Amino acid sequence: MQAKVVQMPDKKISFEEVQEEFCEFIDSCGKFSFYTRSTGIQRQKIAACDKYLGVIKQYKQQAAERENEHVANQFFHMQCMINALRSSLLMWVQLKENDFEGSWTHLIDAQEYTSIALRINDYDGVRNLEARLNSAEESLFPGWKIYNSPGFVETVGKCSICHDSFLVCDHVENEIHMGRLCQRIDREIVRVDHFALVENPRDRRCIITKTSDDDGNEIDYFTWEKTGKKLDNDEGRHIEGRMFCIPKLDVL
Amino acid sequence: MNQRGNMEITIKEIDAPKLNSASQNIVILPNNYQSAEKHEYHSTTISFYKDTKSKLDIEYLTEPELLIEQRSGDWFGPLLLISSSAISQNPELISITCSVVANYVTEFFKGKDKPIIRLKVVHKETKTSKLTEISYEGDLEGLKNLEESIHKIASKSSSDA
Repeated sequence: MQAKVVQMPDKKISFEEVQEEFCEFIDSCGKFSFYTRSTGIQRQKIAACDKYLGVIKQYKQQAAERENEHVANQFFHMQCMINALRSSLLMWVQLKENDFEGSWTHLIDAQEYTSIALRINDYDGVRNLEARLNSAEESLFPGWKIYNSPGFVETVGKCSICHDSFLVCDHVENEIHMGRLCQRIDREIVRVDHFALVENPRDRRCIITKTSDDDGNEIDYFTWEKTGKKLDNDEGRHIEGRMFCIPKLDVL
Repeated sequence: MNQRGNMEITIKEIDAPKLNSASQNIVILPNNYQSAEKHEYHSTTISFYKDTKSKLDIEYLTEPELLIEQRSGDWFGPLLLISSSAISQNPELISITCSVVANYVTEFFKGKDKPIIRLKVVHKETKTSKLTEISYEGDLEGLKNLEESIHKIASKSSSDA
């Protein structure tokens, strides 16, 4: 994989100045996180987020190299907030392109980034974004009474922070260490135990995407349009959905 | 069964002749501790152990190799074994354990909605080897009721022994 080169500013910049720049950037993105805004400009803002994420991660790395945990975690907070806004912009773009499943995934990404950001700093700006995302969820999507929730047996895996076996290292899942979220990685599924339908899943990306009507017509759950496929309801009602999603959040 | 508010506690006596732990610590059991198959622990086990080992005398029954991952939003806690002799050595053990669970879950879900906790505790009467499984399902606040239930089982078991 080719490493991404990020152009760092030549002049020295204080943490306070970075913070000020970050707030201005977040505000400038937030102004475009609405349905009616131009898709073209929303795409430009997404590209700006990608570029700015590179800069913030460089600052974070510098803080980590100096073993300044507090500052590294502050940069991680910024990383999560930028990612939350980037995901919310993607949600609008996908929605306007009628990719409802993709739009839903970006909404959940945005909500999860916001909740990780809240683990570090809790202030009005984050809570406002959280509330806006929740409102978008209620007004844009139909709501799911049930989600898919698989259960499986897996190996312990490795630690995302130190890459040792997760059994032997000292890191704890969901804790933030030097600007990175601890997760178990490289887990191998040994046996699938069950698939359950639950009201409160771990991963709200695992939705029902298609169902069938009384006459056996397959129905898209987002649009309620018939897909044209005919199903046999004799052995029970048909549902189709996402059973499991591999988490891809940018939390390292 | 005891049901109050947003919680439910189920108590049942169990027969597990294969469980020979005589530890004075809290022991994290695999879910299939009654089976001869390879042990499988809840996926919350290792992080919980790492986080709590400085606050509690806690150990695994066997070193975890396989974990059961439930993709539910509820928190499935590790299966905990508490013996009557451990409680008589440290009468605060049950209270400390419940408080450690509450603190761990609060920290784990920081920034998110508080989850439903699903936690099983096995009480072992050391003299008679009688095992009682106490299952808790409810919110964080209801953990106080789990603590009361374990205390009741522990007192009853010791008077029966």
